[in-house]
Amino acid sequence: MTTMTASTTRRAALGAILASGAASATAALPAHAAPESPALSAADRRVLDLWRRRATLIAFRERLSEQRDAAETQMPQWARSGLKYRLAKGEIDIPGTLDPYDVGWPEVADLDQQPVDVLGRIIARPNVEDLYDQFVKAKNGDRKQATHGFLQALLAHDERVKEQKAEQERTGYSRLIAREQAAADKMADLEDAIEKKTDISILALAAYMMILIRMDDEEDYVLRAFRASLAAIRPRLVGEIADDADRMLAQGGEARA
Amino acid sequence: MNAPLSQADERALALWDCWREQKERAEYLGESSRSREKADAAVDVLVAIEDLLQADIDSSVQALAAVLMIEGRDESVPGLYRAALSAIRPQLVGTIAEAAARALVQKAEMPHERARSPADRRDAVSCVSRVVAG
Repeated sequence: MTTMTASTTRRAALGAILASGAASATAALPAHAAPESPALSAADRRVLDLWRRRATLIAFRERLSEQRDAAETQMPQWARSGLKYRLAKGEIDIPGTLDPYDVGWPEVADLDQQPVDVLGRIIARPNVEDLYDQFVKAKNGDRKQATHGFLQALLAHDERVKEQKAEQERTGYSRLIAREQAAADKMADLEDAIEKKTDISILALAAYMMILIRMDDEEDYVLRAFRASLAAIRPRLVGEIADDADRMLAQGGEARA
Repeated sequence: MNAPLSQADERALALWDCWREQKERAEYLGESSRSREKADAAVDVLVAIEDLLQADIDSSVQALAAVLMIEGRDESVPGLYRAALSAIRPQLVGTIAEAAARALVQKAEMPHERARSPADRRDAVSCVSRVVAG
């Protein structure tokens, strides 16, 4: 038997909603509806509108992201996001030693004073939990000195974070982050609204499958089934959803070639 | 059935019949516990048939429907499979259309099959061979 993995709650919930009504929604649609077809149901027209708004929002978020990147370059290096770890002086860079993902914490001022771990790394951008972990390791030696060091590290961290926030305010980075968050919330609302229409609109079904394919959080065999399903219902799609389905299916074809 | 079926669709319909037959055999052998080896072999054949159907989902809507039903049997698989099956139902034919219709009216298990007498493994393997060769 094919081995299955646990699905996301969001996906499972969608499935339960879809199970009852998609068949009737499919049957109610014309086989080849034109983009401006008056035969489109109110639900389909609504989904097309939601999809257009989502496309606009995607473009807006891309612009915000570019502006945020530009604002970040105006900040000093230590205040920007960056790698959590650095190699201590003299250490050899072994692939996989340094976590490749950026973190948002500021870089410490006294890099040379930071403890070196067994992999030869120092935590350049620690959070409070990292500082506590360092204290726990250090207190096995001189506890009084370790406690003093922990207090100093906490105070220095707090001060550095305040300075970083000041830089973020100065460059407009904070404002852009807030706008990006608001846009992300709006995107989630739009996608939820599309999801809610999937029981009465084949356009919503196609749109939501495209969202899940784009998210790429599912197993390959699931995404492949979504893609094949999208291709199978493609003749019933209209407007921008049909155009985007074509693009997505073409990309899938190129990826497989 | 209006338009003539493609070779991939014809193959999918034949594989679907093989799959149903083999599924019952695998279940029978698994429940009867007569021979662990035979039961495992039956499941191997079942998986091989599923792989053959999987390979055709881009070229055959019948194969796609079969895969949606097979994978939809697992409760961890999204109900989106059912929705997709609903959406392509008008394009389905033959035993796959019948199975899809049954599956879509049943909430719990997909697909529900009536009990059959078990076929032996040799028949099941030759069934696959016929489909692949044909």
